[in-house]
Amino acid sequence: VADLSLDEAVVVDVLGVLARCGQQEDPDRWLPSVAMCGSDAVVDAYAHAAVLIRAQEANTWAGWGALARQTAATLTALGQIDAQLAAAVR
Amino acid sequence: VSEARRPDHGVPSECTGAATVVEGYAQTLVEGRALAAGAVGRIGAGAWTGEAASAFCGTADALGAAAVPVVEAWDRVAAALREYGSELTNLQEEADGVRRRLTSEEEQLESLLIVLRDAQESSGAALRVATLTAQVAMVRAEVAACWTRLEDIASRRGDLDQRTAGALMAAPGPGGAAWVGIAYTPDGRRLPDAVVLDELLDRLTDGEVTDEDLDLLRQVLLSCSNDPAWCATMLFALEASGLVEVLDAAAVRLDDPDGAAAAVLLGLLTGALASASARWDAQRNQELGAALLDAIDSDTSHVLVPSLFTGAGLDPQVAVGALDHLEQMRVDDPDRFRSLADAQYPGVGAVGGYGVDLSAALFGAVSGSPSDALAFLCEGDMAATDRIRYWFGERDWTFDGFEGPATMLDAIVNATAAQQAREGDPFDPLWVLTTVVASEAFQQLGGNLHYTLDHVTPQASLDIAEALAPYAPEIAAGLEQGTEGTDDQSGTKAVVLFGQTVPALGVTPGNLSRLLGIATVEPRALAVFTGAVSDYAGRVVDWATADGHPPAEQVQDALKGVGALYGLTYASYGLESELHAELVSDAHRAGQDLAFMLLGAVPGVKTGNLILDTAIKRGALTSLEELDSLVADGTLTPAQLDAITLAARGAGTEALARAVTDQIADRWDGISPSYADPPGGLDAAASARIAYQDAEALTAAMSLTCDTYANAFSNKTSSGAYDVTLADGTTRARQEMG
Repeated sequence: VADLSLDEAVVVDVLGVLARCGQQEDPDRWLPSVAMCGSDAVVDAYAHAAVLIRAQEANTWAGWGALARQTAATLTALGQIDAQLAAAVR
Repeated sequence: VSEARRPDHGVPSECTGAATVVEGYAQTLVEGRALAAGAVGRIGAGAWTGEAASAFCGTADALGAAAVPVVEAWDRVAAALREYGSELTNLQEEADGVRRRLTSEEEQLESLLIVLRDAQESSGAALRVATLTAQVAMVRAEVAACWTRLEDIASRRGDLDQRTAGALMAAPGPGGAAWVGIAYTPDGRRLPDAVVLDELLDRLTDGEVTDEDLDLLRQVLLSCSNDPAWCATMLFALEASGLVEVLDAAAVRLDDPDGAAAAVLLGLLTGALASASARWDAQRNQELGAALLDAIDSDTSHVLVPSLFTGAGLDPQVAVGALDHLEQMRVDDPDRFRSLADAQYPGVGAVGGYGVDLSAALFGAVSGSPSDALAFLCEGDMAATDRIRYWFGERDWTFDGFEGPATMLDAIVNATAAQQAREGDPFDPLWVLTTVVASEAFQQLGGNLHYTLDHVTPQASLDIAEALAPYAPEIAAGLEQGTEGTDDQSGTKAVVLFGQTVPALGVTPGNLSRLLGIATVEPRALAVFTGAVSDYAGRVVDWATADGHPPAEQVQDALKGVGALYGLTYASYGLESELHAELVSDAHRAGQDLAFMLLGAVPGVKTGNLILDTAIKRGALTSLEELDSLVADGTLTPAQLDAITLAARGAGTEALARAVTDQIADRWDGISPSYADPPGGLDAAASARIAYQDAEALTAAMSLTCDTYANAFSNKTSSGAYDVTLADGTTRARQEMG
């Protein structure tokens, strides 16, 4: 379709960037300890906040990775459609 | 006592060290976000266009927006830890001083007490005892003062601890503490999903959706929106009604000073629904789509519900269910239908608006599945005429710039399955049905009173041209042969193309001209359609000049069809530009004509489009002189430029006819059998009648037909065959169509 144009090299490059972002996801990444700060309240509050934000950070990285995977699958499907069309009109 | 002496205990450097590490996390996320935004920006700049590209960019933007609160949360943690470490260091310095003083005073007191005891045991030392007693009292007062200062430090340490703990608890932002309370044990372990979900749904569905509920949900989705299983479970349990309530509440907050939080929530919800839909089967997705419409309360804001259907990756079946339900409402419950489909929301469709029109969103989403789009416009193996009449012929799509119906037409006609079916057998049931439905939809859209030049977006124009382009040959044949003929076997309206019977495009000339004319005022749409016209002309030339070509009469008919198609195309946009002169500048019109001639001079869709694309990008479509640059770099040959320049002095259609004639003339001497030698056995008069001495003679009728149709379709006051037929069956001349 006319409104559909695609520079595959650029799009593949872009998806590579997003996929690398997705690889930053590491739910088990080490969180720095503050256990010796001298306050149980601070240690507990920090642990709760850090675990939650860590999960949110992982979810954010995962989002970029998922978008890259989903779009790569779409590109593959587009390529197959293009090949089918080419075969149909030859 | 030992603890009391050390109210400042702790290792501040551990906190500042942790702050530095956490700042690194935030910085990495900032850099990742910038990297992603930069990459996605290359898509937005044109490396990939189309609906999928738009959805991709929309989702990427939402992901970038969702990263912001996470970065801010890490920053708040880092700031709290750094401040804590710094203040604890200060307290420790202060406490060290007090302790040194305390130790000194205590040592002095111990010594004084020994001396005092000795003095008390001695005789005649009353004065000394009194003096020493006074000194002991003074030192004791100093010791007490030190303890008081240590207690003060302990108190301030307590305050610092509480303040820091509070800051850390609040670091994830509003709703964070509530989410931690639901999802984690006191020692930071994640509770089982089922337990978490129960508690979460209790909170979200215990009455009106509050700001606290929205904050909580945002925190939940920031943590889990890319976990399809979790999203599917949560959204299924929340049900459509709960989802719409949340969206309504979020819509109210969009205009608040903290509207960004609501926007983030909307992006997260749209993404979560898309990932959840991938885990559900078609039936569940369709039921959800219908239930979403049922859950809309017409009296309250539901501006955000349509946006749900536009998310990248959303299973089209959700929109299929919703659109089928909307259509059912149109028939069974018109009041309810109008309250949903005709609602106009502030901000929707406007530049920077945050909402989309419900019908437009559904048409766009359903078009992602062409077979479902076709099914929507069918009743069995027939076109659903009443449905098509409303959606294409009557509905005011001004709000959407007609992108909804245009997208759907493009999707149906250019579906891979449909085009493959056509290639295999022109009377394949799928292609016949596609053509019947497309014919009805083109007919209705061409007669839609709201479909006017100022109400159609460039995108919609492109889609319409794309949908019409594959039918250029059928249009040419229909103009010359009429569309009332039928295929003997199928009973379908049919025309003859290259000696083969194919389904006809059943659109009346007036409606076809108006549909095409409005769309092709947009340069790229003109390029698309004219490219198809040129391609067809090239095929006719090849067919007419091939060895053992068909009889001259058949060739004549095909050439006249080409002429008629050129005439129709030229006159259609020309008349529309004339009728709306206030919207179309002279320069634009000149560019249109130049584009038209450019394509006509170079038959063959790929070559012509390449040249036109180059010309449009360089802005070289406003004068002939600027075309020199296309010759300079070899895009256009000098001969082609000459042809265009010469033709520009005459009518546009003349150039096109000339192009076909020249192509045939170039091959004239090699054509076998020669058109100059009629079959034997004819008398002299008959031989002379069907003998063509040169290409000019062979194509004379084509040129005449071209001019005839150009004139006929240019007549804005014409009546009869060139009138436009409206949805109610009445007819109007083009100039009465607004």
